[in-house]
Amino acid sequence: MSIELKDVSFYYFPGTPMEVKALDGVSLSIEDGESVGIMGPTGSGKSTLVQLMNGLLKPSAGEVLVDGINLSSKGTNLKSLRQRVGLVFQYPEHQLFEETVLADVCFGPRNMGFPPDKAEIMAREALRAVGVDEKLFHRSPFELSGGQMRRVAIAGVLAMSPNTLILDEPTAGLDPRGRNGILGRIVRLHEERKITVILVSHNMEDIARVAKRVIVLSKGKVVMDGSTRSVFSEVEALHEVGLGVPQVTELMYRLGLPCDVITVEEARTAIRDWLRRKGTCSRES
Amino acid sequence: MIEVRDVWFKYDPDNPEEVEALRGIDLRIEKGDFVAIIGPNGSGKSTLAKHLNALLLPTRGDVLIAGMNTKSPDLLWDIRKTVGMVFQNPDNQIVATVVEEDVAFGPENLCIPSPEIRRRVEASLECVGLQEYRKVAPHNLSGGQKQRLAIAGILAMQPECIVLDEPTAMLDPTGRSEVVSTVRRLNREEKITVVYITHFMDEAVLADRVVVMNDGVIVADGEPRSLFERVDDIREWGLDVPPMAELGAMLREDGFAIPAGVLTVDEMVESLCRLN
Repeated sequence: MSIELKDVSFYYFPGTPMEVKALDGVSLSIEDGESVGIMGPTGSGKSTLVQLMNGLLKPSAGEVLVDGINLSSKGTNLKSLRQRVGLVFQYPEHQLFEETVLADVCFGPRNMGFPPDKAEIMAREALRAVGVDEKLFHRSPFELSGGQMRRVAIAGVLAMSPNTLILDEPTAGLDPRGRNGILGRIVRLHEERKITVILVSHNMEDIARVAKRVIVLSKGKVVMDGSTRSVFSEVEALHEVGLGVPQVTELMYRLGLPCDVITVEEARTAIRDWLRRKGTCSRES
Repeated sequence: MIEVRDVWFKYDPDNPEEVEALRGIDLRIEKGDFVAIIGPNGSGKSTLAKHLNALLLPTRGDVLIAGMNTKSPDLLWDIRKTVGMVFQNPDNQIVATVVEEDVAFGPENLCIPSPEIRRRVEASLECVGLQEYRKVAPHNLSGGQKQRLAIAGILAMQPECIVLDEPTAMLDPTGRSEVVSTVRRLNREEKITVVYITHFMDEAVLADRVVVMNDGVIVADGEPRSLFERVDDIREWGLDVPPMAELGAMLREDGFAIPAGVLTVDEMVESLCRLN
């Protein structure tokens, strides 16, 4: 499923003194099966962008096309669109409301019109996919830890079997274990089920782990768009828009080495080679 | 400054099945310290923090703030004047519709005379670098600015200690570094004691001392340098090893003389350059 934005602008409170231009002539397209990270400082338009992608907002100018269908046209079935493009908001656990975990996750499929037994199968499947233990299915979602609540909330969207999963800051406020758990599940969903994943995050390490492509927004415009490696290697440009890079990339930059390094393991290899080239002897040799 | 003596805490003391959120915490924090508290979700960090200004009282044991026991109702105001708290969500901590009025809220409640309030508001806003925003509506501020406003509101009450509970969890990188550098400056220059709870290891490494909590107990307490060398323990506690510490360990394994205790990019650059 492809998502295409053609010269999209979006204004909040148009025509009033409070008018704010949140997006300014954004054009981009995301193909089926991609994993895309969206970065940008607060107020750069990230959340507006993802809400346009599943029709929660309509562009003030320009067009949003999902599988070639214009979301602003009359007669576009937005309900079925939102089932296909699942959006997980920031702090999605604030939206949990049912008495049990399973009932909460069933809500989406039930709402789509699936009979209770089918909805339950879909819910169980989704909960398993995000790694929620069966023992918790009949517990109240409010008794769970922060990381588990977050997973249940993601399962609630996943149960509707979307082809595209958009996650807005899915790891904010979680501890490292909770963060690693959720990111690992997202990577698996992408790899095993070929779900298109769009990840909005401030966390460079998270983006490096999940996304093969990165789009950088600043003041409502797309300022960078390319492979994760190539975008992160533009250390100065990222600093200029107020973003950082993974610490290992920063290190390469400071050492004057090629900045296409995004994991600690890659940094190890690059530095080892660099030191040996320079003739620095390791203790063994 | 702060003394926590064998503190146990249960949210529902009548429920025999509930596990204690704190299980025998002993902790001394001296005046002027900068202490980071880290630990996984549910380890008791926030519960402990709320004991430090009597938002929660120990089920067993005592918490003394500058010698005042938090269990004495008469001392509650003095304790809260001594220890101020900043929470995770900036939007939940702002009460007024104009920045300077928000900062004045605390001292007004303490019945401080107006000229003095005016002076404190000015000084607090200057301290967090928000002077030019004094007439702005708080909802027009960025996340980092809002958290600095929350800090200014606490400063206006002239506390000796500030406890911050994940103050950067909801902020972007710019907002995070604004808050972190403000807190560090308050500690260094204004000599304010800081207790800083965080999930970000790169923030914890900036403290003078790091306390690690797990399952309601303190499992480690020491200088960040020696602590983060314990790579296996850190993982065991469900925490992240700072990337530079991990890289340092790998390069040592490869036989390069990277000293132990390298935690930041600056330090790594320096020790790599020294190899040549």
